[in-house]
Amino acid sequence: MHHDKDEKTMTARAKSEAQVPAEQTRPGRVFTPDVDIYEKDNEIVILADLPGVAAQDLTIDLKDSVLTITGDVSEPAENEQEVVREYLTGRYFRQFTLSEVIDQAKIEAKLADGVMRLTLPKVSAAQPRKIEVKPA
Amino acid sequence: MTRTLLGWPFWGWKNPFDELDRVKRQLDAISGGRNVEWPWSQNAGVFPLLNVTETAERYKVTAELPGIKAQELSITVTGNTLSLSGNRAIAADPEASYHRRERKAGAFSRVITLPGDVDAERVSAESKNGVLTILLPKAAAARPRQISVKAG
Repeated sequence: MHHDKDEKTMTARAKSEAQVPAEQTRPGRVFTPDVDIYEKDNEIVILADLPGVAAQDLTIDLKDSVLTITGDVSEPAENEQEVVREYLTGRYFRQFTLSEVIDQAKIEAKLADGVMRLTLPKVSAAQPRKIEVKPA
Repeated sequence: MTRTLLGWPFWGWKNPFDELDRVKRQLDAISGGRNVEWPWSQNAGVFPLLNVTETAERYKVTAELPGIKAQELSITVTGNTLSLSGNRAIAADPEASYHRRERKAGAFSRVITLPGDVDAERVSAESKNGVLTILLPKAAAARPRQISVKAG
Protein backbone atom coordinates (compact mmCIF):
# COMPACT_ATOMS: atom_id res chain seq x y z
CA MET A 1 0.00 0.00 0.00
CA HIS A 2 1.10 3.50 -0.78
CA HIS A 3 0.84 5.91 2.08
CA ASP A 4 0.39 8.97 -0.06
CA LYS A 5 -2.96 9.92 1.40
CA ASP A 6 -1.60 13.08 2.87
CA GLU A 7 0.39 14.17 -0.14
CA LYS A 8 -0.47 17.61 -1.33
CA THR A 9 -1.08 16.89 -4.98
CA MET A 10 -3.01 14.13 -6.65
CA THR A 11 -1.38 11.83 -9.14
CA ALA A 12 -2.97 10.38 -12.24
CA ARG A 13 -3.55 6.66 -12.24
CA ALA A 14 -5.20 4.46 -14.79
CA LYS A 15 -8.09 2.47 -13.41
CA SER A 16 -7.24 -1.10 -12.54
CA GLU A 17 -9.14 -3.77 -14.38
CA ALA A 18 -10.94 -6.22 -12.14
CA GLN A 19 -10.59 -9.96 -12.04
CA VAL A 20 -14.19 -11.01 -12.31
CA PRO A 21 -15.06 -14.46 -10.95
CA ALA A 22 -17.80 -15.13 -13.47
CA GLU A 23 -17.68 -14.37 -17.15
CA GLN A 24 -19.61 -11.31 -18.14
CA THR A 25 -22.73 -11.64 -20.23
CA ARG A 26 -22.20 -8.27 -21.80
CA PRO A 27 -19.03 -7.02 -23.42
CA GLY A 28 -16.90 -4.27 -21.98
CA ARG A 29 -14.27 -3.62 -19.39
CA VAL A 30 -14.63 -4.18 -15.68
CA PHE A 31 -12.78 -1.99 -13.19
CA THR A 32 -12.01 -2.15 -9.50
CA PRO A 33 -13.24 0.98 -7.75
CA ASP A 34 -11.13 2.62 -5.04
CA VAL A 35 -12.65 2.19 -1.62
CA ASP A 36 -12.23 3.36 1.94
CA ILE A 37 -13.49 1.00 4.59
CA TYR A 38 -13.68 1.93 8.22
CA GLU A 39 -15.21 0.46 11.26
CA LYS A 40 -16.80 1.94 14.33
CA ASP A 41 -18.22 0.24 17.39
CA ASN A 42 -21.65 -0.16 15.85
CA GLU A 43 -21.10 -0.04 12.11
CA ILE A 44 -18.87 -0.61 9.11
CA VAL A 45 -18.78 2.11 6.45
CA ILE A 46 -17.66 1.55 2.87
CA LEU A 47 -16.98 4.53 0.62
CA ALA A 48 -16.38 3.82 -3.06
CA ASP A 49 -15.49 6.10 -5.95
CA LEU A 50 -17.86 5.22 -8.77
CA PRO A 51 -17.70 8.12 -11.22
CA GLY A 52 -20.35 7.97 -13.92
CA VAL A 53 -22.63 5.57 -12.08
CA ALA A 54 -26.22 6.73 -11.63
CA ALA A 55 -28.23 5.50 -8.63
CA GLN A 56 -30.39 3.20 -10.76
CA ASP A 57 -27.27 1.52 -12.21
CA LEU A 58 -25.77 0.62 -8.85
CA THR A 59 -26.42 -2.82 -7.40
CA ILE A 60 -25.45 -3.77 -3.87
CA ASP A 61 -25.95 -7.35 -2.85
CA LEU A 62 -25.20 -9.08 0.44
CA LYS A 63 -25.46 -12.84 0.47
CA ASP A 64 -23.76 -15.35 2.74
CA SER A 65 -21.62 -12.51 4.16
CA VAL A 66 -20.27 -11.71 0.67
CA LEU A 67 -20.95 -8.12 -0.29
CA THR A 68 -21.02 -7.43 -4.02
CA ILE A 69 -20.98 -3.94 -5.49
CA THR A 70 -21.70 -3.55 -9.21
CA GLY A 71 -22.03 -0.23 -10.98
CA ASP A 72 -22.67 0.31 -14.65
CA VAL A 73 -21.59 3.36 -16.56
CA SER A 74 -23.82 4.09 -19.50
CA GLU A 75 -22.13 6.31 -22.01
CA PRO A 76 -24.46 7.74 -24.61
CA ALA A 77 -23.45 6.56 -28.06
CA GLU A 78 -22.60 9.85 -29.65
CA ASN A 79 -21.28 10.46 -33.08
CA GLU A 80 -18.14 12.19 -31.94
CA GLN A 81 -14.60 12.12 -33.18
CA GLU A 82 -12.12 11.02 -30.56
CA VAL A 83 -9.25 13.41 -29.91
CA VAL A 84 -7.68 12.04 -26.74
CA ARG A 85 -8.61 9.08 -24.63
CA GLU A 86 -6.81 8.86 -21.31
CA TYR A 87 -9.32 6.90 -19.29
CA LEU A 88 -11.67 4.08 -20.15
CA THR A 89 -15.14 3.48 -18.86
CA GLY A 90 -16.96 0.29 -18.05
CA ARG A 91 -18.53 -1.59 -15.22
CA TYR A 92 -17.28 -1.30 -11.64
CA PHE A 93 -17.18 -4.51 -9.68
CA ARG A 94 -15.93 -5.37 -6.22
CA GLN A 95 -16.63 -8.04 -3.65
CA PHE A 96 -15.89 -8.16 0.04
CA THR A 97 -16.28 -10.88 2.60
CA LEU A 98 -17.66 -9.48 5.80
CA SER A 99 -16.44 -11.09 8.95
CA GLU A 100 -18.91 -9.30 11.18
CA VAL A 101 -22.57 -10.07 11.51
CA ILE A 102 -24.48 -7.34 9.72
CA ASP A 103 -28.01 -6.25 10.43
CA GLN A 104 -29.25 -6.61 6.86
CA ALA A 105 -32.49 -4.71 7.42
CA LYS A 106 -30.64 -1.57 8.43
CA ILE A 107 -28.13 -1.35 5.59
CA GLU A 108 -28.12 2.10 4.08
CA ALA A 109 -26.63 3.19 0.78
CA LYS A 110 -26.21 6.68 -0.58
CA LEU A 111 -24.74 7.78 -3.88
CA ALA A 112 -23.76 11.41 -4.39
CA ASP A 113 -21.43 12.92 -7.00
CA GLY A 114 -20.13 9.49 -7.95
CA VAL A 115 -19.27 8.45 -4.38
CA MET A 116 -21.13 5.59 -2.74
CA ARG A 117 -21.51 5.53 1.01
CA LEU A 118 -22.64 2.21 2.37
CA THR A 119 -23.41 1.88 6.06
CA LEU A 120 -23.52 -1.64 7.43
CA PRO A 121 -24.78 -1.69 11.03
CA LYS A 122 -23.50 -4.55 13.15
CA VAL A 123 -26.05 -6.65 14.98
CA SER A 124 -26.00 -5.86 18.66
CA ALA A 125 -24.42 -9.20 19.60
CA ALA A 126 -21.36 -8.35 17.50
CA GLN A 127 -20.85 -4.96 19.07
CA PRO A 128 -18.04 -4.77 21.56
CA ARG A 129 -19.18 -4.59 25.12
CA LYS A 130 -17.33 -2.59 27.64
CA ILE A 131 -16.47 -4.70 30.62
CA GLU A 132 -16.15 -2.79 33.75
CA VAL A 133 -13.66 -3.92 36.27
CA LYS A 134 -14.90 -3.40 39.73
CA PRO A 135 -12.46 -2.63 42.44
CA ALA A 136 -12.19 -5.51 44.84
CA MET B 1 7.86 1.22 -17.19
CA THR B 2 7.93 -2.53 -16.70
CA ARG B 3 4.25 -2.42 -15.95
CA THR B 4 3.49 -0.65 -19.21
CA LEU B 5 5.57 -3.09 -21.21
CA LEU B 6 4.07 -6.13 -19.59
CA GLY B 7 0.58 -4.78 -19.64
CA TRP B 8 0.61 -3.65 -23.21
CA PRO B 9 0.06 -6.81 -25.25
CA PHE B 10 -2.73 -7.98 -23.00
CA TRP B 11 -5.00 -5.03 -22.55
CA GLY B 12 -7.70 -4.98 -25.14
CA TRP B 13 -7.85 -8.73 -25.54
CA LYS B 14 -11.31 -8.84 -24.08
CA ASN B 15 -12.63 -7.10 -27.14
CA PRO B 16 -10.49 -7.53 -30.27
CA PHE B 17 -12.27 -4.62 -31.96
CA ASP B 18 -10.99 -2.22 -29.33
CA GLU B 19 -7.46 -3.11 -30.32
CA LEU B 20 -8.21 -2.67 -34.02
CA ASP B 21 -9.78 0.67 -33.27
CA ARG B 22 -6.73 1.73 -31.32
CA VAL B 23 -4.40 0.75 -34.16
CA LYS B 24 -6.59 2.63 -36.62
CA ARG B 25 -6.45 5.73 -34.49
CA GLN B 26 -2.68 5.44 -34.21
CA LEU B 27 -2.36 5.17 -37.98
CA ASP B 28 -4.64 8.18 -38.38
CA ALA B 29 -2.36 10.15 -36.12
CA ILE B 30 0.82 9.07 -37.92
CA SER B 31 -0.63 9.90 -41.32
CA GLY B 32 -1.06 13.46 -40.13
CA GLY B 33 -4.80 13.44 -40.42
CA ARG B 34 -5.09 15.44 -37.25
CA ASN B 35 -2.79 17.64 -35.32
CA VAL B 36 -2.65 16.08 -31.90
CA GLU B 37 0.05 16.67 -29.37
CA TRP B 38 -0.56 13.81 -26.98
CA PRO B 39 0.79 10.33 -27.48
CA TRP B 40 -1.93 7.82 -28.14
CA SER B 41 -3.23 5.39 -25.56
CA GLN B 42 -1.08 6.98 -22.90
CA ASN B 43 -1.94 9.51 -20.31
CA ALA B 44 -0.07 12.66 -19.48
CA GLY B 45 0.48 11.51 -15.90
CA VAL B 46 -1.31 14.53 -14.48
CA PHE B 47 -4.56 14.29 -12.53
CA PRO B 48 -7.29 14.33 -13.68
CA LEU B 49 -7.18 12.09 -16.71
CA LEU B 50 -9.15 13.60 -19.57
CA ASN B 51 -11.04 12.33 -22.56
CA VAL B 52 -11.50 14.75 -25.42
CA THR B 53 -13.89 14.33 -28.31
CA GLU B 54 -14.99 16.75 -30.99
CA THR B 55 -17.71 17.47 -33.47
CA ALA B 56 -17.60 20.10 -36.20
CA GLU B 57 -18.92 22.68 -33.73
CA ARG B 58 -17.29 21.94 -30.42
CA TYR B 59 -14.87 20.01 -28.24
CA LYS B 60 -16.04 17.97 -25.29
CA VAL B 61 -13.68 17.35 -22.40
CA THR B 62 -14.66 14.88 -19.69
CA ALA B 63 -12.95 13.98 -16.43
CA GLU B 64 -13.82 11.60 -13.63
CA LEU B 65 -13.86 13.64 -10.45
CA PRO B 66 -15.90 11.70 -7.89
CA GLY B 67 -16.89 13.59 -4.79
CA ILE B 68 -15.84 16.96 -6.17
CA LYS B 69 -18.55 19.54 -6.40
CA ALA B 70 -18.71 22.05 -9.26
CA GLN B 71 -17.99 24.97 -6.93
CA GLU B 72 -14.74 23.33 -5.79
CA LEU B 73 -13.40 23.45 -9.33
CA SER B 74 -11.77 26.26 -11.19
CA ILE B 75 -11.95 26.15 -14.98
CA THR B 76 -10.33 28.76 -17.18
CA VAL B 77 -10.09 29.00 -20.95
CA THR B 78 -7.83 31.20 -23.08
CA GLY B 79 -7.44 30.73 -26.82
CA ASN B 80 -6.92 27.00 -27.19
CA THR B 81 -5.82 26.33 -23.60
CA LEU B 82 -8.04 24.84 -20.95
CA SER B 83 -6.93 24.75 -17.35
CA LEU B 84 -8.64 22.86 -14.62
CA SER B 85 -7.75 22.96 -10.95
CA GLY B 86 -9.29 22.10 -7.65
CA ASN B 87 -8.89 20.27 -4.42
CA ARG B 88 -10.35 17.03 -3.24
CA ALA B 89 -10.76 16.79 0.49
CA ILE B 90 -11.68 13.55 2.22
CA ALA B 91 -12.59 14.05 5.83
CA ALA B 92 -11.40 11.23 8.05
CA ASP B 93 -13.63 10.14 10.89
CA PRO B 94 -11.56 10.45 14.08
CA GLU B 95 -13.49 7.65 15.82
CA ALA B 96 -13.07 5.19 13.01
CA SER B 97 -10.43 2.55 12.55
CA TYR B 98 -9.59 2.01 8.91
CA HIS B 99 -9.46 -1.28 7.07
CA ARG B 100 -8.70 0.25 3.69
CA ARG B 101 -7.83 3.71 2.46
CA GLU B 102 -7.50 3.70 -1.28
CA ARG B 103 -9.33 6.87 -2.23
CA LYS B 104 -6.98 9.74 -2.92
CA ALA B 105 -7.28 13.33 -1.87
CA GLY B 106 -5.31 16.46 -2.58
CA ALA B 107 -4.94 19.42 -4.87
CA PHE B 108 -4.76 19.09 -8.62
CA SER B 109 -4.12 21.34 -11.54
CA ARG B 110 -4.00 20.48 -15.19
CA VAL B 111 -3.61 22.38 -18.44
CA ILE B 112 -4.33 21.01 -21.89
CA THR B 113 -3.93 22.49 -25.31
CA LEU B 114 -6.80 21.80 -27.66
CA PRO B 115 -6.18 21.34 -31.39
CA GLY B 116 -7.94 24.63 -32.18
CA ASP B 117 -9.17 27.87 -30.64
CA VAL B 118 -12.40 27.91 -28.69
CA ASP B 119 -15.00 30.56 -28.04
CA ALA B 120 -14.22 31.22 -24.37
CA GLU B 121 -17.46 33.14 -23.84
CA ARG B 122 -19.64 30.16 -24.63
CA VAL B 123 -17.81 27.44 -22.71
CA SER B 124 -20.10 25.50 -20.37
CA ALA B 125 -19.36 22.92 -17.69
CA GLU B 126 -21.55 20.43 -15.92
CA SER B 127 -20.91 17.84 -13.25
CA LYS B 128 -23.05 14.72 -13.06
CA ASN B 129 -22.50 11.55 -11.03
CA GLY B 130 -18.91 12.60 -10.41
CA VAL B 131 -18.08 13.12 -14.08
CA LEU B 132 -17.24 16.62 -15.23
CA THR B 133 -18.18 17.52 -18.79
CA ILE B 134 -16.89 20.72 -20.36
CA LEU B 135 -18.31 21.81 -23.71
CA LEU B 136 -16.10 24.19 -25.66
CA PRO B 137 -17.60 25.62 -28.83
CA LYS B 138 -14.97 26.10 -31.51
CA ALA B 139 -14.04 29.64 -32.47
CA ALA B 140 -15.52 30.71 -35.79
CA ALA B 141 -12.10 30.69 -37.44
CA ALA B 142 -11.36 27.14 -36.25
CA ARG B 143 -14.61 25.64 -37.48
CA PRO B 144 -14.62 23.72 -40.75
CA ARG B 145 -16.41 25.54 -43.53
CA GLN B 146 -18.33 24.00 -46.35
CA ILE B 147 -17.32 25.56 -49.64
CA SER B 148 -19.76 25.09 -52.46
CA VAL B 149 -18.33 24.83 -55.94
CA LYS B 150 -20.34 26.67 -58.54
CA ALA B 151 -20.86 25.00 -61.83
CA GLY B 152 -19.02 27.06 -64.42
